[in-house]
Amino acid sequence: MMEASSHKVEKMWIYLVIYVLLMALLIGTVAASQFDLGRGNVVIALGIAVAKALLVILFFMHVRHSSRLTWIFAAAAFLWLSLLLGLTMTDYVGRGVVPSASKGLVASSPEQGHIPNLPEGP
Amino acid sequence: MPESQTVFEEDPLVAPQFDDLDQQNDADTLGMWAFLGTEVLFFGGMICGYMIYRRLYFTAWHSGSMIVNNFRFLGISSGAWNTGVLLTSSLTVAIAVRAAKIGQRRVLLWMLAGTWVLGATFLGIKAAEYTHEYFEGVMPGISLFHPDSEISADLATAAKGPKREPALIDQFRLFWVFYFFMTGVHAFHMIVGLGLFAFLFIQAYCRRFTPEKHMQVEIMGLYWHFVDLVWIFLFPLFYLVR
Repeated sequence: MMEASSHKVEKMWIYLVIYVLLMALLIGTVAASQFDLGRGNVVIALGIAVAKALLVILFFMHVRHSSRLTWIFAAAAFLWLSLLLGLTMTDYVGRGVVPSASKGLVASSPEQGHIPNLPEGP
Repeated sequence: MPESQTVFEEDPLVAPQFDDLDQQNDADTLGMWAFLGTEVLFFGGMICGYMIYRRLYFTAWHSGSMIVNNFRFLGISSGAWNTGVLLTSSLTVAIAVRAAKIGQRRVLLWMLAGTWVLGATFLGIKAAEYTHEYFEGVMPGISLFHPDSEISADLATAAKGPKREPALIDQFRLFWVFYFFMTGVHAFHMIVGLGLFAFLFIQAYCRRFTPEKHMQVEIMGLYWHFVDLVWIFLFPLFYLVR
């Protein structure tokens, strides 16, 4: 029998370290978005989002100390999400309705497709 | 059954269907995760639609994302500020849950109040963004493509231009529907969260929580962290990925 999660009191420094890591990841993702890395931008932005999500789920939401059954429920949510996204995208890309990743992302260069002149921010 | 009534009165913490407090607490956590699972798929469906149309209408999505990310405070995009605000509020929630567990009432009250203020700050920044976007003329159904707006003129030129992209205006409009719907549903969750945390603050102020009876704080904390998680994904999708 696992120790009930409600008894476990996390040490304060763990929360602070996780917070510093999250803020560092935030600064990292904003900094990376300043550079044009082509396809790399998407990979870095979403990779960092997944890393942040894992830190929040495991430490702030205490899944680390939760019962096995809670692990299964949490994992099931993301398994179903991956089925939703994975199978839908496979269908759209496979039928050629949506351009494949390489083609779609190359179109980000300004010469392909017209990008309206945008007003400057305040 | 006088016997079962006696048992119930002896231990008001544990509902009669549970063996003990640990089992009840685990059931509380599990029930919340079941709900959060449905929320993951609720937002997942919208993210899925967003990803498909991003591939299909890349030019419109790219232009939209530039406008979203263009609203800045001190040179940093408002989305990045809001991510920082929400991550900080997740820290205060985590400390609040810990304080409730070990019975630190003052810390709990301060952290609940801090969370509330940070949540309100998030909504304030979001409201400023929406106002900015309203005056840019991109709000679907209300201010979208106001004849005076610059974007409207640009898109009209694009539609007649050498590239001939007459559908671009519709694609651009779709981006803004996704943007306002997804961030709006997220903001709605924030508003619900503020209500819940105001309720928790009053409960804590009235000394309703003890180390044995702290699960309300823990469960509402899970909700708050989840709303933070959703934003962690909305931020790169709308602001960073171009």
